[in-house]
Amino acid sequence: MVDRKNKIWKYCALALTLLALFLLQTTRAISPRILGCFLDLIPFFIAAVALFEGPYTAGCLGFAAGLLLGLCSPSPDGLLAIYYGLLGIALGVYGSIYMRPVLPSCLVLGFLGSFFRDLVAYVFYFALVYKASLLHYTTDFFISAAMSILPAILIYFWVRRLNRRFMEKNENEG
Amino acid sequence: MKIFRSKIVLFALGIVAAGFLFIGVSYAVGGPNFISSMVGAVVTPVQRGLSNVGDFFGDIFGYFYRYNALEEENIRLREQISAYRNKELAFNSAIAENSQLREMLSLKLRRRDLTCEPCNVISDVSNLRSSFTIDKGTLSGIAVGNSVMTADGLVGYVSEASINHAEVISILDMSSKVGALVSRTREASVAEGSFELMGKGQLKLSYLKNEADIKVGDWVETSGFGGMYPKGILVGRVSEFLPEPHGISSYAIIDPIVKIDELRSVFVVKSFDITE
Repeated sequence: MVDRKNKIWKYCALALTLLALFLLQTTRAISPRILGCFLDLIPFFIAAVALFEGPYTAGCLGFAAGLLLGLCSPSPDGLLAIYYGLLGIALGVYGSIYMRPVLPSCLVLGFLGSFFRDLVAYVFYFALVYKASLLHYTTDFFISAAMSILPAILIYFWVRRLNRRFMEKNENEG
Repeated sequence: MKIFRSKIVLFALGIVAAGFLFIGVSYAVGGPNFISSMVGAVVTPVQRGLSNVGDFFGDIFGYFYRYNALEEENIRLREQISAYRNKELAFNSAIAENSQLREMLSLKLRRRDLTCEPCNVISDVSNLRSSFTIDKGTLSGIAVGNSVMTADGLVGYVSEASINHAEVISILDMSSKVGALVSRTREASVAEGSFELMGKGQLKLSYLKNEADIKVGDWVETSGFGGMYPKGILVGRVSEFLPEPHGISSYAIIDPIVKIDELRSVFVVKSFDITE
C-alpha cells in the first residue's frame, strides 16, 4: 500500500517535471533562444526517465510529452506522441541492457533521441518536400543540442534525485 | 509470433495504436481532438501567465541594459517624426486632390472592412518551423485559415484552432505562400518562406521575371489573390534581387515589416471584405 502511494507521488513528480520542462521550452519570453534556435529538453528528460525508471514509465511520459509538444507544433496531434512514446520504450530497453544510469549515458541517449527525430523529419519532410539545405539543418540541430546540454545535466540530476528519494522512502517505510 | 506476446512489445503497440487514434480523430474532426483541446485549455493560461511574467522581467532587464540603444533610437525617431510632419502636409493636400479626382471620375473608394480579434502570443517552439501559439481560439470566433497581422503588416495565418488557443504559421514558414505585389510596379508574385532564409527572419519573393523592375527598398504588399489574405497589407521590403540557380526566373529577398521573433501581440482577421 505504502509502495503504491509512493509510486503515485513519484509519477506525479515526474509529470510535473515534464510540464515544467515543456513550459520552459515553449513559453514565449521565458524560453531562451540563440540564433533562432530553441532548447530541446524533452529527449534528455525521457532518456533520464528511461535510465532510472525503465521503459514503461519512459514510454508513458514520452507519450504525454509528445501530446504536449503537439499543442505547440503544426504537426498532427499524436505523431510526436508516437515518436516520444516509442523513444521512451526503446531507450528504456536499450539502457537497461547496455547502459548504466550515469550522466554520459543520459546525454548520449537524449542526443540520439533528438538526432533521430530531426533525421526522420529532415529525410521525410524537409528534404523531400522543401529540398532544405542539410548544412543549415545540421547547424540548427547542433546549436539547439549545444544549448540544451547544460539544462540536460540538471534534468539528469533532478530525475536521479527523485528516483533515489522515492527508493529510500520505500525502503524506510517498507 | 512469440514476440507479439512479449509485454514490452504489446505496450509499444498500444502506444502506436493510441497515437494513430489521436491522429485519426484529429483528421476526422478537422482540428485538435478532445484530449488535446482539454490539455491545451489547462496549459494555455499557464503559458500566458508565464509569458507575461517573462515580459515583465524582460522589460526591466531591457531598461537597464538597453538604455543607451533606446536613447539613440529615441533621438532617431524624433528626427523621423519631424520629417514626417513636413511630409504630412504635402500628403494631406495630395489626399484632398485625390478624392476630388476620384469623385470626378466616379470611382468608388476602396473600402476594406476587417473584423479583428486582438490576441497575445504565448509560445514559440520549433527550430524547423516558424509557428507560434496565441491565447484565443474558437470561443473568440477564430477559425482555421484566418489571416494574422499587426498594425504594421502581415504575420501569417491560423493553421489550427482549439477552444482557447490557436496555432499560427508565420509568413516565414516554408509552407506559407502569400499572393503579393510589389507596391511600386504592381508586379504580381508569391511571397513564400524558405528554409535557408527562415533563420535570418527573411522570406522570398518568387517567380519574378529576370528583367523585372525590382529595386532594393521596394515595398511588398498582399495582392489579395486567392482570398486568404486581405489586399494591401504590407509584407515587407525588398533587400536583394537575385537570379534563381536555374536561370529561368529571379527572386527577391524580403525583410518582413513585422519582426516575427519579437511579436507579443497580434490581430486575427476574422473576416474581411474588399470592394473596388
